[in-house]
Amino acid sequence: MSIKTYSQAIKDVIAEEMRKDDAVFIMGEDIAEAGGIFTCTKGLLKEFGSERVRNTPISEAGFVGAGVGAASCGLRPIVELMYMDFAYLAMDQILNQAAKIRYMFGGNVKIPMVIRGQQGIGRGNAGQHSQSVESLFMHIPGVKVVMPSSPSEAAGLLRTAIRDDNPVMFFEHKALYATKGEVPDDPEYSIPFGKANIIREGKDATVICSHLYVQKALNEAEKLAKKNIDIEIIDPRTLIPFDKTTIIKSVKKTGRAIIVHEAHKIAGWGAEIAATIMEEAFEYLDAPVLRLGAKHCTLPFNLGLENAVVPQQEDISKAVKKTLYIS
Amino acid sequence: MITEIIMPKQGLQMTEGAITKWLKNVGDDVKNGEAIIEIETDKAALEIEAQGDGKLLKKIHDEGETVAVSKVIGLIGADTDDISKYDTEPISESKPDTKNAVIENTLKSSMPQNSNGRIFITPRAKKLAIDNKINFSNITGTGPNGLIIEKNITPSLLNKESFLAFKGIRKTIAERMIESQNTYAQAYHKISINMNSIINLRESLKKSNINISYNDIFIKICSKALLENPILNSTLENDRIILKHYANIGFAVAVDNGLFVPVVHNAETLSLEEISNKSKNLIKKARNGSLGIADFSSGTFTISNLGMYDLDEFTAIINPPQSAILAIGAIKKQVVAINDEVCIRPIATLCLTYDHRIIDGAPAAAFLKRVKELSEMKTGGAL
Amino acid sequence: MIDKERLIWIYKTMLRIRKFEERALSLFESDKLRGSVHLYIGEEAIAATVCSLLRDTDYITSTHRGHGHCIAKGGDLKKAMAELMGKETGFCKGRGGSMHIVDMSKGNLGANAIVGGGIPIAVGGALAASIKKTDQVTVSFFGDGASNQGTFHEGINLAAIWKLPIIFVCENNEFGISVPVKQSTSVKDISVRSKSYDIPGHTVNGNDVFEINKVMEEAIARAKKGEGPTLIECKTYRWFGHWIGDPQLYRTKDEVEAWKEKCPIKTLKKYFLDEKELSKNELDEIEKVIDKEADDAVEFAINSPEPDPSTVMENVFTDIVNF
Repeated sequence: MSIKTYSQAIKDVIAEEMRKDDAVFIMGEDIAEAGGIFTCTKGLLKEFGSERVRNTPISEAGFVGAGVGAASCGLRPIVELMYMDFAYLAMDQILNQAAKIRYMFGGNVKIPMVIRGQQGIGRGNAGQHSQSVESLFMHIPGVKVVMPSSPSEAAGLLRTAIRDDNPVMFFEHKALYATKGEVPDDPEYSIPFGKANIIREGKDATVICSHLYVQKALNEAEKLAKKNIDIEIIDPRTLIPFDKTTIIKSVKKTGRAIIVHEAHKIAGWGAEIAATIMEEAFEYLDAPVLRLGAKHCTLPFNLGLENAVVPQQEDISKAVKKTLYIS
Repeated sequence: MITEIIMPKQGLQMTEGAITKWLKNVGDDVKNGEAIIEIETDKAALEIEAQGDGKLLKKIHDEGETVAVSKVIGLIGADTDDISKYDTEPISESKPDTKNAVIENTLKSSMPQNSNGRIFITPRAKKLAIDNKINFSNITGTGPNGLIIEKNITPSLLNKESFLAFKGIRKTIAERMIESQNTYAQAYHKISINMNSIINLRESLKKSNINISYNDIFIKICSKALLENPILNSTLENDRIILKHYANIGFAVAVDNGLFVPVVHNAETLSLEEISNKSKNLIKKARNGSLGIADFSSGTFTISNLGMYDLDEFTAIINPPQSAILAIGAIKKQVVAINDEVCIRPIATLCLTYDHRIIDGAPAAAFLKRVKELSEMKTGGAL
Repeated sequence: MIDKERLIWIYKTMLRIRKFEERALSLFESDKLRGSVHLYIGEEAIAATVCSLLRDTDYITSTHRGHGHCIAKGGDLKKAMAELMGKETGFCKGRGGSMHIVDMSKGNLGANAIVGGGIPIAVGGALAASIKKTDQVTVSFFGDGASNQGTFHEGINLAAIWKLPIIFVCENNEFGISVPVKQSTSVKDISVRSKSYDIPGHTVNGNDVFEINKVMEEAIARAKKGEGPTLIECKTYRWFGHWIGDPQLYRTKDEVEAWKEKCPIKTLKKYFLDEKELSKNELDEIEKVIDKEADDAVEFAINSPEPDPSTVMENVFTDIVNF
């Protein structure tokens, strides 16, 4: 084990995979000399050269599309989007091309490509640089959606993503880059997709969350424990594929579920999970499934306003108590 | 031509029967004499045979329903027959998960309901209640607007109450016990018996590969004692006491949710081995629910043996219209004085319940004394 | 310079495309084929000539009007027709249809129903060749409409800065559905746009095999030398509407008839006869063989099985993904 930051863990896995497989290369904005504005590619240019560590113009549709083409032709591109908000510029290449090519072409092509980048609040980046956009990519079949919530999760899931033969949207969180944690030194360490992480076992309510809300939920769990409320916390890790089994099993046990995400609540992934719970564990529910998500409002610049839009840590306890009918 | 399937009256006391199983589906061909439905009466489970040929046209009552005797349960006939005059409430053909449905319906029917006919309960609380057969109708919900939530049900798991259907055999037993208790002047005599002789008899027969029970031996003993003391073997009918000079001896057999009292008829004419064979067969039938009417009718006296439960002694309630019942406790080694010496003997205590309206203390005592003599094989003890 | 053998190959390829599409049209009209079918008839010289210079290992990306590119790149007529009919034996097992034909074994990275969608993918193909240091070249076919998409500009810019071995072939057939180029496009000759990216640009008669060949040979040589991309605009015309059933209110019959006179197949046939390269008998024989090939493709497609609906969830991913 080594203590690493989230961004170091990402960089190390990219480097290790590039050493192992010549087909792996990375491109994106400011990733070469600059090492990425969040340092996730720092030092890679020096080791692997400009062929495989490739600065791109500010041209998302172009270089994401080039990634799709390179993946079709046998390479394993890692395409960095500086902000996941910029994925909108490449939406056709991601959702009409990368996601659909294999299916439309009758399985004759595979697209082993990772599109990774950060998203979310935390730096006062306002409306076009602070969104959480993962839900958008769940709706169209053909891309996998990954949400690492700690350094070791980032390492294990990114290795799986790079080795996956399908397009993977790998959502990092900007406010997690500086967080530190133990990461296994095993250069083969990986976490399979579609296997949720039970962060904390509990019996009274299931809190399903990812990214920043994993730590926030843990903090609230401590407070709730003092009031004899014992919550289970589950990080789904990947939204596509999704570990329904673990979630349903947990909800059958606890009878209460709260889904917390920074993405907008309306049509956010919490809605999908809530509906799934209703369909598959209805008779086990003792309270309506609750969702905590960002208000239907553009992320504002001002910190106080930003906090007013996204769920706050205390909201988790409030929601848990609500499902337990405790005021 | 339409043939009605009627809930048959099986014995004088039967007023209703429960349909346990339809053996045919609507549309199936049915032959005269073919078993078509299983019912459970207050006495036994039995199959009803079709009284005509044709197709099963309609099930007027479904499985689980209790129907009064002589009511129409179903119809047999041809497709062209007009059965519209039998139209009552439709009966659903498919019965998925009848177990839970029955429980739920039972719960629902006994629940107080709000003006909309709904009890507000969360799905989880409801499942918990139904899985544990907890009646949630009287539970107060503490959720919003009185919603019953899981924690309102959990205390009931600690003080769990479940229910059994009170109908059929159970209901009949109850009615007859109350009838007995309210009508009969029940008095009790007790006597202790040295079981040495009976034990030796059993042992010796066992050596000849003949297995007889204590019960069989007491049936034999009682048949002899009853003929000698016929007042114990009598029935009060209006202004007459009918003395019976034959011994039809019933014995109690416990089954789930009740007991049966099959009868060994004319035990006085049977050898011990014959009694044993008959009783074994009757016990088997009682346990698999195949006792016929004849198997439990016209008893004149009853024996109840709970010795296997290690009871010292117990009293029984008279089984109407009989006038006495003998309760047999466990055989226990006890210190007794014999010829002024302290001895240890296997002792069983018998307790006779008799109807003091027609049997006085002395004849009851005489009967018991005779039973004791026969059991200890002192005088004329040959069985 | 086109040797006789290659010229005959180009002729046969144009004829193969023509005969294939004539049958597709007839199947559509007799309701045996559904969906969007965009005919390439009239434009065959471009695909045939360009692909006559490519090997199976070279890549192309194609468009919604992609039958010609697929066939010119060596695609099997049977599999192509089966795909048009949505059959299990088609190139995409009936999942893609006319607008999504792919043939990786011949380097066809796929047709694309999003205008301009294939351009960055072609750049990626060229990037792969560049990173792997092979001598593969990539051709991206697209229409005049795509030249107004961002992907056109982004793709060319990427290829130019990275000096990728790619040729951008713009098939200017005068209309984006109903809108004439002069209404939609700021320049008369789309090749002019190459200047923005400091790469060579050529505008040629897209119905002239020799003109196309000349600029393509130069472009391929340049690509292989690592000098980067070339933009070639081939001016041509589609004889039929944008799709089968297009009322074509945007043009006159006379205009269409005038272009039919410029038929590339007729022109090349006349060349063979004039230059005595091939006799009428030989040309008739070629046509007979190709007619049979096209008929066989139709028969194969009609007799092919429908895909099994129970397989509909296959190939969303390479593995099974649950939600």
